[in-house]
Amino acid sequence: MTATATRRGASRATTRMLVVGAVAVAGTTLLAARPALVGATPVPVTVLAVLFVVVLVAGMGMPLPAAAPRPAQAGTGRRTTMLVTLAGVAAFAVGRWLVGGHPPTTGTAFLVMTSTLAAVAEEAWFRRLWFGLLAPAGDGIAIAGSTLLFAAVHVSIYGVWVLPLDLAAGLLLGWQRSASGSWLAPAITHVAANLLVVL
Amino acid sequence: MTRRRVVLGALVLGGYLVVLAVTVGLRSDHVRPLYDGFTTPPAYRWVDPPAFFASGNDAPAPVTQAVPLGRDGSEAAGIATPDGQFVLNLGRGAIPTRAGARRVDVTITPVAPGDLTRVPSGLRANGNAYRVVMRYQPGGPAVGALAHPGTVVLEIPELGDHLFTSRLGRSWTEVPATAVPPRDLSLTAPWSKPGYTVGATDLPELVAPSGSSSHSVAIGVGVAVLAVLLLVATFLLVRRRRRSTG
Repeated sequence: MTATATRRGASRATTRMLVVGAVAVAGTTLLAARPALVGATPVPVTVLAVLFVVVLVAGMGMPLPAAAPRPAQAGTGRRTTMLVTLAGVAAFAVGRWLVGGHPPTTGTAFLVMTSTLAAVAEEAWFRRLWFGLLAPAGDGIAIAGSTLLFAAVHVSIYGVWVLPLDLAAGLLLGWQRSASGSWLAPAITHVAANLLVVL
Repeated sequence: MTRRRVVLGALVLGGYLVVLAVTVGLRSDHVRPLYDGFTTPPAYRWVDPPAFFASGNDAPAPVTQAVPLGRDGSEAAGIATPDGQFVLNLGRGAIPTRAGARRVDVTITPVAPGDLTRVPSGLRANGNAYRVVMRYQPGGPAVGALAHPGTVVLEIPELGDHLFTSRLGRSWTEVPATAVPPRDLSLTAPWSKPGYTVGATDLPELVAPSGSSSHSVAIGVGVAVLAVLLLVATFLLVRRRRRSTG
């Protein structure tokens, strides 16, 4: 390969990452400004559903930069994924038991479907796309950055008081992503956490 | 998995439970283990909807219905708002007779609970309050109390089995209420005096109050700045590492 071709390839990769970064920033801004977004439409549920489907598709499909090299012994197999998933689900189950009380509303099929869509879409967005974008700087920064954004986008909906709780939950999901090497474990855990709330 | 990752995982899991326990301790209402994205509006007509649901809201309408009076009091009647969110069932003779009166006009008006005194015991209003006024016709005074209690069925947007009544909306009296299965999003209770009726719940606000959600554009801009800073920091860090290694 000639030096010119290498330079051209690198330039194309940079442009691609700039586009991915811009999409990630725009999508995250939309997630944070949801109250204003749904306030501007007479069909808020449809708008939210479309937003989450777009977030899911973009979160799963966007190309990512090469991550920082991982230690050779870091386990990323099926067993590790299963273990970190179980650990996360167990933590949220204990959390559900700790908060007690009853669910906020009755668990209809619609509610289960929408909360599952939200959970998977958010994990594709934060634990795949954002984690992947920040991972070249190291897993620590990827966990912290994706957690910070995950918690921040929920402030406009629930208020500042959920920030510590969502930061703690985001760190847990980020650790799962880092330890298992895939966003499958946090996605399963997030779905389980939501089902534990509504059922 | 490395020992370091296992230790980190244990710390993160323990930390989450500590933060959750502290949050539960600081909040007087129920806390969810995780607050995430899909907050759908309940199928409910609000007088004063939470800001997040305002655009899709259909305002509820009042209703006035005449209940004929006989020799032994009013006839049996069921009076419901057009959306069915408030239904009042009165048995035969529930409204006492009055000399010269031939009927009683019953008016049910949905009211924003924010215009009334807050419900007590750390609870919050669960949906609209409803004001019931009963007037003897023609031209008579308001009905003060029923001769025999009726029954109210009140739809609520969220789970919670507290029901309060008030004559003027200045102080509330809790009435024993039963949630109607299978959805538990209706309450039924005995009802004996015209005035205000409202459901209440100990759940936290469905979404942030209107004050904070009106700042959502500002929060969105703040998050965008944070996201850009994270990307720029990552880019600079990676470039510095590459330069120092290569």
